[in-house]
Amino acid sequence: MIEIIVRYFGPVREKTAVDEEKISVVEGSQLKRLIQLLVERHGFGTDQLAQCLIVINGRGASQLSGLETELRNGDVVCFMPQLSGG
Amino acid sequence: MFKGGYAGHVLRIDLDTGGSSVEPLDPKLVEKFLGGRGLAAYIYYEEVGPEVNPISPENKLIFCVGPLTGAPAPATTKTSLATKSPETGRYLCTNAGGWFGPHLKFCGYDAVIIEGRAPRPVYILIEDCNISFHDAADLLGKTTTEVNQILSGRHRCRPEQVVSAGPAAERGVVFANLQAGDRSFGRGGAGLVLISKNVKAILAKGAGSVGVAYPKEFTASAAEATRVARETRTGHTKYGTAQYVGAMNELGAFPVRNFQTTTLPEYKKITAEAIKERFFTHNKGCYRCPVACAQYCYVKDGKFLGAKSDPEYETIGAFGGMCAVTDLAAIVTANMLCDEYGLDTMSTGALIALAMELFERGVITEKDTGGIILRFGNAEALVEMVTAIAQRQHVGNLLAKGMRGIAEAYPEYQDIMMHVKWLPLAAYDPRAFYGNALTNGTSSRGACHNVGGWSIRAELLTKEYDRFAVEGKGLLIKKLQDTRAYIDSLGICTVVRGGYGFTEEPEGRILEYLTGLELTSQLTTIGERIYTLERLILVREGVTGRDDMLPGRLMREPLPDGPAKGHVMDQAKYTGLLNDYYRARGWDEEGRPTGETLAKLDLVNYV
Repeated sequence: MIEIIVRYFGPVREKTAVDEEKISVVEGSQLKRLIQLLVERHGFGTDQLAQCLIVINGRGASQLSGLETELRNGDVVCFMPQLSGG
Repeated sequence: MFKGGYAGHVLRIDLDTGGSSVEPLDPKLVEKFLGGRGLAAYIYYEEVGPEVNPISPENKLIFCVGPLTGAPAPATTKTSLATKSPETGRYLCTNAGGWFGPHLKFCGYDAVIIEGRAPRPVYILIEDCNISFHDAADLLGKTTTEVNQILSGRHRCRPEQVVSAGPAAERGVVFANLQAGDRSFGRGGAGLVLISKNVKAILAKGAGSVGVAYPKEFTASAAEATRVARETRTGHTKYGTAQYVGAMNELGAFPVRNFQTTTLPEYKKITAEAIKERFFTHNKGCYRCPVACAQYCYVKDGKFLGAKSDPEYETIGAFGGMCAVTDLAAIVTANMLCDEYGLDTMSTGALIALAMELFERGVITEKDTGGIILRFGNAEALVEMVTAIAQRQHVGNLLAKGMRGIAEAYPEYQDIMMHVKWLPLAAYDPRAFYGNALTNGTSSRGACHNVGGWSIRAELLTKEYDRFAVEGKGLLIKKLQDTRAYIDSLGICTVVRGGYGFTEEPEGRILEYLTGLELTSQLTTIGERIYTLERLILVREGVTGRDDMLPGRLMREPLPDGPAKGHVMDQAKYTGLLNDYYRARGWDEEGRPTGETLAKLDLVNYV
């Protein structure tokens, strides 16, 4: 098993009621497995996650391999609000 | 004659004579510059020469609305203002939401040009075709809130229809803003320009409406834009722009202690969630806005009891991050005082942060600060300094002169003066997102995250635009700047742009339904033309490639910690970025648009 640090910001944090938690996943797991676990744990709706910007170690998941990004021990995965400037 | 969107008239108010005149809006100008920011830049180019002193009668205030301003569609709220900035000494474009712009349109105007200087203090009432000047002696010294309440009561309208300058402008603070109700023409010191003309306030009260060329189709498109805005901007409705505080800190882009670092250990005390839990009272929206992003706060207890304001991300970034003040009640208070005095929160916060660093270095002392212990994190000092600036007390008198004034007093500390072209940076560190370096360096009004093209989303989402990559950023920033230029010219708020289809590749037909003109396919070209015209203005005012450089701290000091640790925007990297950008724009190595570029954009007459 590997341990992932997950952080929540904005509307999605309301659902989790915690800012940060550690989630264990099987080695070799991809981002989509982590999301599946979080949906089960917190009951996120698909619309809530669709409105999130997912950032892994400071890079957007879409800059990596998206939902198929392989996670490594100690990765920090953030669920942020969609950023759009002001 | 316009079928819709445009009122078709330009109002010119001559303060020297107390007269006014109305000119027709040339349809060719609409095709070239759209309206709003584009039209304002055009009029500025034609009428405000490089020799004009910002606080002389020769300077002008050029308010322009876009074709969508005031139209029955979501967030059609924006007014652009062009003038010469007392803060930067150069061209300024600034905009505000609220109700003032829609009412200018309801009065029948696409542009209002204010020129000259009134012989005595007045306020101006624009009521349809009646333009009147009223004695403002009783308004002098009053805060913006007081003025807006008095005039809205006297003339029976909303306070948000009044644009006023506050006591800070009366005392000559160079970044004194214009308050449009509780919205602001925030940056660059337009409040001081208005006061220099002996005008305390302007009120717009229109009984008309905005014509629509194809009402049925327009209404359907507007409904769809409203639906998309509601569904995709729930975060803005719930938390406002303050929701970026936690994200920017996590990304290592949140400037702390005058950009000495980019992570704030106690950031959770000043997030949108903290606002919600502690002080939130209600949302407020601008004209026809379905998002209503403003988060109003009221401080219920403690030493700042009774303070109320709606702090946005940039304000929290300036007071909370740059000044390292994590007392949220103090931030709400400093924000309120800025609004009351009529001060730009961003410049105010950035200048106080600079003063805090100078204090900690021993360059300025308690003798200079009237006894204030001006250290980072000192909440009381922050609040006291806002008043000191507005009233020009002790070191506040120096800060009131902006970055230019401080650079004159302490030229040896220019490396830590965080500005470009004398306008202080917003709350994003370019060392953490390299595209943001170009955003600030090449913005048309000095360092600006909006006009300069806000790149952070693209640098997080798009594979080819890695945040620490140099390659490709020139074209990215150009596209973002051009897009922002056309959006600012349409008269809508950028928060709802997606619902309209106004992106880097604009789509939809709502503009055609509104105006009857084929404009959508031309928008990015119009945006590029506007941005290039603004650069021509800057070049005429003496700007060269050297002025596009960043503050020394960003170019010489690697970030000491956080996710962007070790990153610095050194000369080689930045030169690479700038050259890439100039090439993408068709500008020469000094940042001047080439003849070929001007010909392509039909700007050859503007050299």
